[in-house]
Amino acid sequence: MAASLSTDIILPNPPPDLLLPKHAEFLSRYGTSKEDYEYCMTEFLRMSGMYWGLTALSLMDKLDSVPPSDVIAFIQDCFDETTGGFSPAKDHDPHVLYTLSAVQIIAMYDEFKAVDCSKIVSFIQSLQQADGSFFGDQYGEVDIRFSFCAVATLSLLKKLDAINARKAADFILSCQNFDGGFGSKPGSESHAGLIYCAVGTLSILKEVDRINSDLLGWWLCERQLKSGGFNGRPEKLPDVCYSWWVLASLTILGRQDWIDQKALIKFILSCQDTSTGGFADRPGDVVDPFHTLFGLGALSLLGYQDEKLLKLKKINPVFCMSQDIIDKLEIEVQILPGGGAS
Amino acid sequence: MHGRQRVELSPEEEAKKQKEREAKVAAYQFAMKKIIEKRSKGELDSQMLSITGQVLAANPDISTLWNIRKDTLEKLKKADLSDFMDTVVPKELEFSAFCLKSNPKSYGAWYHRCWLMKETEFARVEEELNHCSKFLTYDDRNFHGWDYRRFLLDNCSLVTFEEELQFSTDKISSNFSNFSSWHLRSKILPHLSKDYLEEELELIRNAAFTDPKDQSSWLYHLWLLKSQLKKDAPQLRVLQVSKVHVIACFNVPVPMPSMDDIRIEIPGIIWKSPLNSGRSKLWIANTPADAIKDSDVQVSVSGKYIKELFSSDSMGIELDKLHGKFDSYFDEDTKPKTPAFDKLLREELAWVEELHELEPEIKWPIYTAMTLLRMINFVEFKPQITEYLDKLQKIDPKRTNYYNDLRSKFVIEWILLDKAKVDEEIVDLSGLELTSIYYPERFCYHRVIDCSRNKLKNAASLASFVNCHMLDISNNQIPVNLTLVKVLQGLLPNLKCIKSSGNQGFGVSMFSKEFADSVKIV
Repeated sequence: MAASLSTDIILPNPPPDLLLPKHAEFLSRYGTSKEDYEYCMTEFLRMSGMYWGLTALSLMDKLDSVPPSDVIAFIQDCFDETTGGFSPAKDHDPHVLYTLSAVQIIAMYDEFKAVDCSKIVSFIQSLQQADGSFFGDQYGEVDIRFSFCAVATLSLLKKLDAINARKAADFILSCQNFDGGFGSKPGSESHAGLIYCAVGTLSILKEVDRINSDLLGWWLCERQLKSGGFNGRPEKLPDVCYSWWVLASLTILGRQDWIDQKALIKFILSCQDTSTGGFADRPGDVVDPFHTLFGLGALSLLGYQDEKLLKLKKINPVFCMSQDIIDKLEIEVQILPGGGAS
Repeated sequence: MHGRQRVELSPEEEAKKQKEREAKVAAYQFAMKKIIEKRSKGELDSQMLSITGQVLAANPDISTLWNIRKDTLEKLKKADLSDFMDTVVPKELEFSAFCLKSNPKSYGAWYHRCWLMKETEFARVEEELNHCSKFLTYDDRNFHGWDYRRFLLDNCSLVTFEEELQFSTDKISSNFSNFSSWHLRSKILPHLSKDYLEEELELIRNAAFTDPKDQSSWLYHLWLLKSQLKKDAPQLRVLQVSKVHVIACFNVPVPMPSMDDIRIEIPGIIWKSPLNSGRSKLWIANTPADAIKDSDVQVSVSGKYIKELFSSDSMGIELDKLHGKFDSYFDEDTKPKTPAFDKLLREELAWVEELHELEPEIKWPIYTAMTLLRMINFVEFKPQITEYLDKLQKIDPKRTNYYNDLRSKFVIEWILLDKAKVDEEIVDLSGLELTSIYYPERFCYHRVIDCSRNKLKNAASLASFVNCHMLDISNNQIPVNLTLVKVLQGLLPNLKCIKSSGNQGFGVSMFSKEFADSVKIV
């Protein structure tokens, strides 16, 4: 167990190897027992859970361990013909969060004919507001996460022209703060997860050059703590998911080398559960598919390979999906070159 | 599972827990079935509030159930408005508070409060502000709580900016390490009419001396000082028109110039930035073939960006000649300051350096002192800035590449002001341990550029060297990839000779035959 400090932790030494077969096993086993407590209690985010698990499996080239027909049937089951949005699970309401997850899975399996995609486009269109922001659903909550979901969904469907892209970007920039970061809404405090949403949206819209990359890059590299892990805001504890939010953002800004990559790898590896497989937020905590994806995703961004030269597939820093899927769809995102040029 | 520790249970404990969990699953599934049934029949009534309430109390993240409650509440509101306002809403707020006690970060429970406020036209906003303040005493970094507070303030006129600043001050006084609260100040200050700077600086000083390791007040400090500086308006700095191309270079990044921004009497000009970015300081256009026949012809330019450059709205310019010149500073930080602001910066520097002497191993005083010195006079204080940067490299090795890039930026600034290294034709950037070339647009007109014996890590900056004939990038760490080939082969039309030895994997074979035939590659 890791000893806790107030704003950082001490890692157990040395970190375990990367246990890919165990992670694949953990993910394929996850959700096989439908009566399982965790499974039931996370029903409200099932669609995203599927996306996390399947993407993590695809990074390990183990997507075939789940029957594709089951996945597609689930997706179709969650499609709401009336609104054009996806719900997290049957009998739940559609929301932009789960619509992106569903479309990511559709793209992963190249199953764009599984549902009427033009309805998805109308759904996203209906959520955009006059200031460029997006509602999550008809109940009116606004959040920068929803902007990312909306824009990423349309990009995967090749229908970015269905919304006012300029205003979508303007809204993102209205959420920028004194430290160069972004919060959930105009006026909200900067947070690494929301920065990822902001930078990712601007990358898809090819407007990353509208932000001060040196200032934001500095704030992001200051998220790395002595333990090597990243926190999401100043003076908070590290967490594996921020490895992804921070590193992916730095990658898009062309400043991935501003952090200590070796120390980060050590932190991520320490968050594995060596008996059950899977990653937790911090060493010694309970594992889940969410942290497993973001742990593996960050290792993939770093091009990590172990002594046996086991390697993960390359991940796209904006879509958090295997790069070959993005290439196949011929989607280009904006990645700044760094090195003083931007 | 955020922050939930793995616990080893004995077989008996495990069995007991399993039983409890099975009961919970059964209860959840039973309740959900009932809810869906009722919803499909349109039974949005008080019983619906009670059942969804039972499930949400155990798991407030199920957004669909909050939706059902909202639908139900709307129906109740229509049926009996005064009962809704007097009985239903207070109960509902109490219920959301109950959920937040077990899960203070529940998006659904927080948004439900916002929704209730809108539905009641902010009737209970004062109570809500009190509730919110109480909530922030449990966790003063809960951003949901801060967001809710801001939502209330944006929608009611009860609280003034001055009072809100006081709230932030109280929070900071009880805990200096409260980035959320410092953030709030950055949002309030622009709305205040009185001069707050001195009081703010005192608060920062107290915080920094109390806990110099905490970055919150330091980040705020630098922002506060920099926010006092006026940003330069976009202006054209350098313009060159030749039979080959038109080069326009600006003081700050601007979007692609429109016909109104720069009007040039050459038809068919299409602007491009070196790396196809939407905003750039440098914009280049190819001059269409035969558009300019005589070498002594004059081209007229006008437009909104050219006023400072030509001190008139329209002007004839000579072909090939470089018009205008760059500023002798690089951004607001390096721009000369007013005597009053200079004095203020020196006062700030004094206490920061005093703190550094007391706590020589802490990085924030060092970083701040370095930045302040650069703001006061970045040329005069070159030795001190360099010394502080060396210290940062030593005590903060995790960010060594960040500091390398920062050093490269400073070095280029110093070089650009050094006539011995940079004249109208030739630039010597060799052997400076540069990892990056900042301000590449300032080298857009040089014909000979020597970047050899550095640690350059990519080729992107080279794309701005559009007039370069002779480029030396030998002995660097530039990876051989598509960017490099694209930049050298496609974007530098005047290149005659390139020295590239000492970069791993570099060879003639990576270029097209046409390029290799026309450019000498050493």
